[in-house]
Amino acid sequence: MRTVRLMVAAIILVASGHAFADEPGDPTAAKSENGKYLDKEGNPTFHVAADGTVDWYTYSGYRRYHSECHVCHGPDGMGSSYAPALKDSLKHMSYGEFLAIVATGRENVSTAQENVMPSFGNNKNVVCYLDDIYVYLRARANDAVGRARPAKHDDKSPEIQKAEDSCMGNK
Amino acid sequence: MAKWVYQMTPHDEWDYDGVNEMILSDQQISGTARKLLTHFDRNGLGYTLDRATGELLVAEKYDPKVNWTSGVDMNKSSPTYGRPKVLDQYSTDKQGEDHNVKGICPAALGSKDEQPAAYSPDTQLFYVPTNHVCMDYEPFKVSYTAGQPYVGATLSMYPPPGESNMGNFIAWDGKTGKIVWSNKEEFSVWSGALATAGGVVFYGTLEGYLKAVDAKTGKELYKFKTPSGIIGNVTTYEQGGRQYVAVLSGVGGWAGIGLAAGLTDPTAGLGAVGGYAALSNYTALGGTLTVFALPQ
Repeated sequence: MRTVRLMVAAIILVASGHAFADEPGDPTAAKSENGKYLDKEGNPTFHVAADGTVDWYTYSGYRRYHSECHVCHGPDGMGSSYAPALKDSLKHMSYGEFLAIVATGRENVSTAQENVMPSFGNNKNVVCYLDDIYVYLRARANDAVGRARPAKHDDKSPEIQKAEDSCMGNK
Repeated sequence: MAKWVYQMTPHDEWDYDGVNEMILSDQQISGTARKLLTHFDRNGLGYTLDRATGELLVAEKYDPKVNWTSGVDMNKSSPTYGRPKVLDQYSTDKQGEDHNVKGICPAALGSKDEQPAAYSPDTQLFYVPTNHVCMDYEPFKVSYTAGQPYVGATLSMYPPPGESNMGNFIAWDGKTGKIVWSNKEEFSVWSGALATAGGVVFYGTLEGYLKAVDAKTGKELYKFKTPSGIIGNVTTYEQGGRQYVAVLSGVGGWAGIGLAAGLTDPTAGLGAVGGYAALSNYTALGGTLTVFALPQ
C-alpha cells in the first residue's frame, strides 16, 4: 500500500508541474524506450504500425479501460448518460490533468448535470496502468485506433513486465 | 452439517462457476433403485451422483464440442478420482497471463447457465437448454480493491468452428450420460424447460419462439412467436378445470446483453456481444406474459 500512496503523491507532483490549461500537444511518437512511446514533450503516446499493429500500451490500455472505466465511460471511450466520452475529453486534456483526475476523482455537479467520479488512487488495477489507459484513450482521441479490440499488438517487453510486477506487488 | 461434497472444476480457469441447479430423481441403475442427483454444469459435463452417499456415477460431456477436458477420472483407486483431466492447450493458467487462449469450448457462459433443465419421470430423460458456444480467453493481472469491481480477462465468444448454431435443446439420459436427441437452435437456448405428463416438452428461444416438442423424439409439434426473446421459464397450471401454459418473453441476460444494453463492441459483455450480434435482426426488447389455453 505504501508504494501506491507514494505513487499518488508522485502523480500529484507531476500533475501540478504541468499547467492545467495545457493542451495534450502533438501525439506523434518522437522516441521509444523498451516498448513505450513518448511524444516530443516526453509524455506517453501511442504507436500504430502500417499493418495496424499497436504498441503494447495501447493494447494493455484497451484491456484496462474495459475492465475499470467502461462501466461509466462507455465502451471504447464513447461515453454514457452519466460520464463523458473520453475519446473527446482527451482531445483537450493534458497528460498531467488526466493523471490528477484519475488519482483524486472529480465532481461536475450543476443544475444541468451530476457527474461524480471517485478517486482511483488506491486501486492498483488503475494506478499501475495509468499510462496504458492514457495511451489507449489518446489513440482513440486521435482516431489512431477504432472501436473494439486491436487485432495485433507488440509483445510486452521485459521492462514493462518488471514495472508491472513491481507496482502490483506480485512475485 | 455437510454429508458429502464434490467439486466439478477444481482450480477453475475459465469462469465455470458451479451455480446451476441440481435435479433430484429416483431411477434404476444396473437393476438397483438409486436416489440420484443430476447436474448440468457450466463446464459442459453432465453429472449424476447418488445423492445419499455422494458417489459419482456419471460424468459425461452433454455437448460433444466440449474440449477443455478429456474427461473425468472414474477410477476409484486413482489419486485423481473424480477430477477432470485438463488439456494444457486450453489451460488459461498454463498458457499464462497476456496469452490469448483460443478455441476453448464451452465459453464462460457455460454449456448451460442458470436456465433450468426439466426431468420427466415418464421418459426418464432430462430436457436441457444448452449454449453451443466457444471462446478466446486472455487473462491478465488484477488485484482486489474493496468496493470496486475488477475483471482479469478479455473474451470473445462464437459458435464452434465450422458450425453456425449457438444452441441445442437436448434430451439426456442421466443414467448413461448420453444424448438421446438434439435439436439445433440458431441462438443459445436461454429459457427454462418444461416437461409434462402429456409427453410434450416446452422451451423458448432467444428469437422469441415458444416451442412444443415430442418428449420421446424431439419432433417439433408447435411454435409461436412471442413479442421478444425468451429467457423466462415456461410454466403450466390449471384453473377452472382447464390447463394453461405460460411464458414471459423479454430478451436480456448474458446472451442478450448486447441487445438489452445497446452494446456494440464485440468483446463487451464479457465477450458475449460479438456472438449474439445478429439477435437484433430477429427480435426486439419487451416484456410480455403470453398464456396459451389447451384445447378442451
